[in-house]
Amino acid sequence: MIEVERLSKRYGSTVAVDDLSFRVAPARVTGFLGPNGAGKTTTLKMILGLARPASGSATIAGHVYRDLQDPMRRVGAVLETSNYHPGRSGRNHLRVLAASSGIPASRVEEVLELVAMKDSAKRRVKGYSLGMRQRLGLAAALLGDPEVLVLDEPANGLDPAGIRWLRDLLRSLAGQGRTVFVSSHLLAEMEQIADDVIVIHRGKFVAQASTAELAARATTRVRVRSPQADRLGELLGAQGASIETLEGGALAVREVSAEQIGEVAAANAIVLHELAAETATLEETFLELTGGETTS
Amino acid sequence: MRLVYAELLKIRTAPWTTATLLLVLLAIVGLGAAGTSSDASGSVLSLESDIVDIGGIATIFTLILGILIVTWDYRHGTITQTFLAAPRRERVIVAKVVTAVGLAVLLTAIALGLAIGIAEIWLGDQFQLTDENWQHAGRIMLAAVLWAVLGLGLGATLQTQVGALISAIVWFLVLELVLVGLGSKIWNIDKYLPGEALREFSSSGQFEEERLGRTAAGLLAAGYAFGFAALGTLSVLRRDVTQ
Repeated sequence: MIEVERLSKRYGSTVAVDDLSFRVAPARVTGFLGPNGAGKTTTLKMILGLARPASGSATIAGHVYRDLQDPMRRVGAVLETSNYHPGRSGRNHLRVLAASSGIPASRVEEVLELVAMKDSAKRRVKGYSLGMRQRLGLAAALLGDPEVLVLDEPANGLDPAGIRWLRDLLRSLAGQGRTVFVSSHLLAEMEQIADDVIVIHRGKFVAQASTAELAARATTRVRVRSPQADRLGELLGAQGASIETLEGGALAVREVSAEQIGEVAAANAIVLHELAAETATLEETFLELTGGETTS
Repeated sequence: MRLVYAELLKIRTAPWTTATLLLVLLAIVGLGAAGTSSDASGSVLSLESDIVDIGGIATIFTLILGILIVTWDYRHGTITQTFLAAPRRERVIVAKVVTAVGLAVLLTAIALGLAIGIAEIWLGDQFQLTDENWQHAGRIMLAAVLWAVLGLGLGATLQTQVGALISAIVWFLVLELVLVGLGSKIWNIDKYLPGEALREFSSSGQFEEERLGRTAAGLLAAGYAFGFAALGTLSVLRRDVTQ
């Protein structure tokens, strides 16, 4: 369980994180979503004791990170993809981390197996692709077999097969009762990976919901094309619909269902050329939540 | 102890920097000792102390080593993982100090051993180390430790590898020499400068009377080294990790 309570951080005059509160529950994959620069990494750094909050608190299982005994056995974290000494091999990178936490070297081989990196472990990190660095990061996070995982943009640089692999891995980890907290600026990724999503924007809390709820919150609209669009619009307006005219003269109708529209048209002998219910993607919902700013 | 082991493992698993440092040191000391030995005639009074001084070149390398041990974690961004594994940062600093001191002693012992060994083989009986020479070597060893701590403090304060290395070079090889030139004439401050204090402490001969004296110079040098280490610790504890 990760708890963030009224957390704030400013860099000079810029407010990076603004009175942010949320909880991340165990046994689920929770996405931490926001555009680049929304304050995700800063928040994660404060949770992990790497940056000092201006006010508020962030705790893991009730403790601030600094007070955790054997932190790598409690929390596994990956912050960036480039945090490696380029001349060190992947295996040696893990051995250094294991040594600093008193984790036996045999565990290094186990996590290499887990992230399917056994073959490239003896190569130097400077020859690794972004995807391989991500896998190595995950291996580092899993070294201590921790109950909490905090991963910053772990899907970055992974190909679709890699993202599916990541999803399966994270789901199985959450299935074992672990808390999995994953940041991303891409909704599509979150839609595939996360059970819950916490959305922040400009350092402020925007929404927290299950991915399914968020999708359900996505407003549904019906697209209608008719040569008698004006007449149809009037009739639907009388039924309480909100109507917007799209490019090419089609109408985007909200608040009434496609069935109702069809019935109104039939009752008034209006010809329809198109009648289609459209569900907004999570992406569009997200844009709505964050006030229309793009996500990348 | 784990953290010291991890620091040593970091050095061992990224061996190029350390190996280069060691090879350059061995080359300089080897050539220096061979050169001095080949020039030596029976009448050179300071032969033994010159040879020990050549081994003392190691102190420059321990300064660099001190800087590297703390800054390569920052340079490569591995400081994030270091602090995730050991969020009590003061423990990381202590581990780095222990590592730097241990390696400084080792490096200096190797350099002194090489210089003395070459002279022994080259000159045989003509080369006789006295107690005074051994004390001189011991002071060089202590100075090497202080240089390493100073380097570590400087690196921890600035937290940038290039910045710390350039600052050290500019200060010790340029500014301090300029200040010595000016200072000895005008303000008489030269003897209080860190490099000068260390030099006075670890030198073989006696400096002029207006200098601090060996013990005072050693204490002042230790003050600089641990002062910088304290400043560096404070800087590491207070600053956010920006990588």
